[in-house]
Amino acid sequence: MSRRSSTSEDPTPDIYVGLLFVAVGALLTGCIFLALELASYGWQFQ
Amino acid sequence: MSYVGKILVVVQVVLSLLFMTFAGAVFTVHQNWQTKYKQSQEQLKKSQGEVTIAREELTNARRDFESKFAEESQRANGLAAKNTTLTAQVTEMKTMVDQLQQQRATQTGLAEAKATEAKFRQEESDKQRVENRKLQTKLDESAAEIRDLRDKLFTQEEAYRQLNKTYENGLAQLAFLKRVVSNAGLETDPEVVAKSMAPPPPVDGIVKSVRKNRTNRVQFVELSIGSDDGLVKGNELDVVRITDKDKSEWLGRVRLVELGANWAVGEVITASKNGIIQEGDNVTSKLNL
Repeated sequence: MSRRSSTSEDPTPDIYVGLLFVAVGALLTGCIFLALELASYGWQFQ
Repeated sequence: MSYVGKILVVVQVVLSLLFMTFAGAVFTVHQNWQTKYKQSQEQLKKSQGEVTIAREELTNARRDFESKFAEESQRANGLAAKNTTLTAQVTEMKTMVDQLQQQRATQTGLAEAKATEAKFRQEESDKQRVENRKLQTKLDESAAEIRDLRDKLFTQEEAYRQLNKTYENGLAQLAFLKRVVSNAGLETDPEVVAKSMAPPPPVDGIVKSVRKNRTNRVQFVELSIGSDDGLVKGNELDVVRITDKDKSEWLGRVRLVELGANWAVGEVITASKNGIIQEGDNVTSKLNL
């Protein structure tokens, strides 16, 4: 990809950017669920 | 962005959503096996403690049961002996019960007989009460009659006293008159007087002996007949002498003054001028007939 100036060449966020943010939120939520699950065992793995 | 980048973004989004979903599902429906394990361990310890306690209790219970069993065995033996004794007593009691039943049957029969007798006596007593009422009525009537008779008796007793007094006066007079008659030399016995006044029975006798007075006349003669022939003092007999078969001579008449069973003494009250009374002459009363 060619380097472009940030003011003129920044692409306009489209739907796919929104989808990426949704994916980040879903990953964080899943991590929180797993952390809570592990916390219920007292952070012990054996 | 290229077409492949777009696809990868979409795939990444889908997979992120699936990850979030599975993680939420795991967090939501998971079971805490550690807690379960701890609870199971605690429950196991508790159950083991209970089992230990139960075993101790079982041991104690078994020991108590054995001791009680021994006691109960002894007691059972005692009760068996007692049962034997009681069985013998029951047999004796049955025998006594049979005897008592027989006695009861006998007593029942006697009681029924007594009841019948009592009923009969009750009926008889009712009849007797009726009879008693009748007799009481008669008794009252008799009492009234007795009162009347007592009144009459009193009156009759008064009359009897008067008659007795008169009778005693008559007896005194009779005694006085008897003394007077005896002093006069007369018989006072009514039977003797009646017999002397009656004619003598038809008898025949013989002059056994004679007694003469100072003038040499025959005064008394002894006869061969007496009271056994029916003669009494005062009877008068004729003295005859049979000279022939068809002829006899009247010698006189004598009156009996003394008398025996088979002898008599007569006083000559009339003497014949043609003959003298001698021994062997006949004496008879048939001429008076």
